[in-house]
Amino acid sequence: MFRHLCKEILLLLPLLLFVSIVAFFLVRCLPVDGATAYLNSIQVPVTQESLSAIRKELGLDEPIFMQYIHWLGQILQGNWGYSYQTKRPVLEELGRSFSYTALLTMATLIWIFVCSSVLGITSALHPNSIWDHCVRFLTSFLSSIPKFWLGFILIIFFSLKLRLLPVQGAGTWQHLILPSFTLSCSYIAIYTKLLRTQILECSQQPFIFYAHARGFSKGHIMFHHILPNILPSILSSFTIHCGSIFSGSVLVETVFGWPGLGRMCVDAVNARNYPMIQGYILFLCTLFVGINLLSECLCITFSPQYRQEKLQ
Amino acid sequence: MRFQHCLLGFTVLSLTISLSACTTQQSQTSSEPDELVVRTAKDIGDLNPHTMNSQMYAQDWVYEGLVALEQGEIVPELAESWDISPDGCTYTFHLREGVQFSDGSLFTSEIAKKNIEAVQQHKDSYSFLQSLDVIESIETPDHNTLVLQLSQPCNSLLNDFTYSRPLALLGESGFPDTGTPYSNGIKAPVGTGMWMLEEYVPNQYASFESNPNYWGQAPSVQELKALVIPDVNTAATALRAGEIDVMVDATQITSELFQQMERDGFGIASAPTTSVTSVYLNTTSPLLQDVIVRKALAYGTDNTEISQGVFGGLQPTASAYFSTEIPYTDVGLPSYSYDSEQANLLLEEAGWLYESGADYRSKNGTPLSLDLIYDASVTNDRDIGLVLQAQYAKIGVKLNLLPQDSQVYRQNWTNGAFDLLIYSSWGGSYEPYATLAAMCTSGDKFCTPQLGMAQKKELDLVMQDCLSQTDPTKLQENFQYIMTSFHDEVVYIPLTVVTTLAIYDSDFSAPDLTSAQGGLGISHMTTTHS
Repeated sequence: MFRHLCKEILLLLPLLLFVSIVAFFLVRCLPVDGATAYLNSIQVPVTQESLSAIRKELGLDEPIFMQYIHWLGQILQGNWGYSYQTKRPVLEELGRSFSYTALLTMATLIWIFVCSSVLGITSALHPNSIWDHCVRFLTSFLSSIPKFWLGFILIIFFSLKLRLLPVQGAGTWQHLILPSFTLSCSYIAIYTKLLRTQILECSQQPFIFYAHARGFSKGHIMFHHILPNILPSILSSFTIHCGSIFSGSVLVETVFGWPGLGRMCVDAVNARNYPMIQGYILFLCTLFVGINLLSECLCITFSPQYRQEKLQ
Repeated sequence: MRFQHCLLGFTVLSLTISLSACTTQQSQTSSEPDELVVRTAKDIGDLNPHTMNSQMYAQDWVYEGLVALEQGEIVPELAESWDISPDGCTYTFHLREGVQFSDGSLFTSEIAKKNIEAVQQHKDSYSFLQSLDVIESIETPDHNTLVLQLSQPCNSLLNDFTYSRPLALLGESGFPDTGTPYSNGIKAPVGTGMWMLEEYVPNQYASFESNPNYWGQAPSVQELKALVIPDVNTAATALRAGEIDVMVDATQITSELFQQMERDGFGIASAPTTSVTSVYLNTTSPLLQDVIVRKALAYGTDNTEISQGVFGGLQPTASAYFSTEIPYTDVGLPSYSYDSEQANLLLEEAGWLYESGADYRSKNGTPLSLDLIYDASVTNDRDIGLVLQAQYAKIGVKLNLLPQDSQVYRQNWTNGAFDLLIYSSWGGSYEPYATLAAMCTSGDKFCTPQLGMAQKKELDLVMQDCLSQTDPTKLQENFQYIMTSFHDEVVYIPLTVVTTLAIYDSDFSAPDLTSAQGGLGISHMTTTHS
C-alpha cells in the first residue's frame, strides 16, 4: 500500500504544475486587469499615472511569463505572495479562512454521516413501508429546498423564536449548528437515497442470500457484508461532494456571517486579487487531491475487494 | 472491523473539536450595557490611515485630520483655525494644543509634517488629491503651527484634509521602522480619534475602547464592537435577536426593511448625504449624439416615481448633478420636470418615428434601442433600471438593462461602451473639486460621458481653472458655466439624493447621522437599559 501511495503522490506533481499554470493564466483572462481593479476597489481614479504606479507596486509591469516564473519560484519557497486588498500573506489569509471552512465541513460531514446512515439504512431495511415512504418524501423535500431560504427559516425558528442559537458569527459550537445543518440538508437527501438504493441492490446479490442461509443476523449482514461492499462507490461520491462543500458554501457563509473560504474567494474575484485567487485555486486543488487520496486509503483499508483490485 | 469504525468516528470527532479550538472565540452574542455593537458589511481592514484599504468610518473612529466636513462646511478638527494668504499660496494651520494620541504621545506640528510628507511620497497613487502636487514645502515654526507653502493656489486643499484617508494623522509609534505606512504598513493604529482598537479578528469583528486621551466629548459608551455581517437581512435578524444594536447603511437597507423595522418598534433615523444618483448619458454614443434625444430622455424621466417607487420616499428627488449643499454649484437652473408629451414631441422633431405596429421608435430602419449598464452589486440600481425601462417605453424608447460585474461596469464606463449608466456621485469632501479634477482628466471614467459635448475643450479649461481660482466671483462664474453646460447638453439626468439610513435598538438614543465626528455618527448614542 505504501508503494501504491508513493506512486500516486508522484503522479500528482505534474498535475499540480499544470494547475499552477491554469490558475495563473486563467485569472489573467478575467475581464479587467488586476491593477485597474485594485484602483477601483480602493476608490482611486484610474489614470495612466495611477495605473503605472500600481502596476509597478504589484509587480504587474513585468512580462507575463516572468511573472509566472517569479510566482512559481516564490511558491516553491513557501511564499504564496501577498493579498492586494489586505497586504497580508496569502497563506495566512487562506489558512485563517480554511480553518473556519474546515470546521464547517467537518460539522456538515457529521450531519451527513449520522442522518444519511440512520435514514438510508432504516428505510432500506423496511422497503415500501410507511417509514420508507416518509424518508423518500423527506429526501425529495430536502434536495429541492433552496439553501439560503432554509437558512433564514432556521434562523427565524431557532434564533428568533426559541432563542437557542446565535443568528450569525463564528467561534463557538453553537455558531456551527445552523450553518452546518443548512449546508448538509441537500447532501443528506443525496446520501440517504444513494445508501438506500445501494443497500437494496446489494441485498439481491447471491452472497447475501447465502449469508442469510448461514443464519447470520440482519445486523451482522448489514455491517459485515453489505456496507463494506458498497463503501467504495459511496466514498467516491463523497469525495466529490467534499470538494463542493469546501468550495461551494458561499451562500451559507454569507447568510450566517461565517468567515470561510467561499466568501474570501468571491471577494478576491470581485477585486481581481490575483495572488489570492491563484493561491485559492492551488490550495483547493491540493486539498481535493489529498481528499481523493484519503478516500482511496479508506477504501483500501475497509473494502477487501477494492484492496485486491487496486494492489494487484 | 468494529475497532476500525470506532477509530474513524473518533478521528472525525477529534478533528472537529481541535479545529473548533483553533478558531478564535467570539466572546458574546449580545451587547453589554456599556457596549455598542454595530454591524459592518465588510471587514474593517488594517486601519492604515495612509492607504485606501480600510472602511472609512472605522478610520474615522481612530484617526482625525486637520479639518473636517460637517453639513457641507469645513470645520476645525486638529487645527483650531487656519489662515490663507491673499495669493492663496500659504496655508497656516494653528493646531489644537494639548492633544494626545491614544498612546499618550503629544500631537505636534512635526508629526503632522511627517504624515503629510509620507503621503506625498506616494502622490501618484492619490491622483484625486490636487493638493499633493502643489505643496512645495512644509514648515513647523513651533509645535502648534504648521505652514504649507504651495506652488500655486489650490481650492481643494482644505477639502483634501477632510478625507478619512490618506491625510489622517498617525502617531509616531504607529510608523514603520523603515519606509512609509503606505509601502510598509503600520505598527499599530495610533490616532487622536474617539476610539482605539482593542481587538481585531479579520472578517469577524473588531472591538474598540474609548480613547482616554481624546480631546473632545468622550463617547457615551466605553466599548464599541463592529461585527462583520455581509447580508443585510441577516443583520436585521441579528438586530431583532439583540446581537447588534445598530446598523447604518446608505445602499443596502431597502425601504421595505426600513419601514418594517419601524413598525416592529425599532428606532430609525435618516439623513440625506451630498451624493446624488444620476443617469449618465454617453454623448459619444451614436444614438445619443443628438442633444434633442438626450433632452427627450430627460423629459421622459420621472424621478418622483423613482423616489417613491424604489426608495419609498426615503431618498428625495435631485435637481442637479451636485447636491444643493455643495458650494457654488446651485446656480438656480430649472430642472427638466417629467413631461412625456414634450419628450414625444422632441423625438418626433429629431426624426424618431413609430413605424406601423411597432412598439418603439426608429429612424431610417435603426430602432431607438439604448443599453443601460449598472453595477449588479448595487442593491437598488436594478429597480431604478426597471422603472426607467417602463418610463422610456411610454415615449417609444427601448431600454436594455445590462447588469454587470463591478469591475466590468467601470471598465465599460471608462471605455465609453454604454449608452446610459446609473451611478451615485462621491459626495462628501470629494465634491466639487475632486470630481471636477476627474472630469477634466483625459482617460478618467468621469470624463468619458462628456467627450461628445461641443464645448468639451472649453469646459475642461474652466474646470481646471476652478481648482486654483481664488477670486470667488470668477469661481462662481466658472460654476455657472459648468452647471449650465451640463444642463443644456443633458449629460446627466439627476434622480435622487442618497440618504443614509440607520436602524437601531430603541433602548438607545438616535445616531447623529450628520455628525462629522466618530464615523457613522453612532459614537454618542446613549442607552437606557442597564
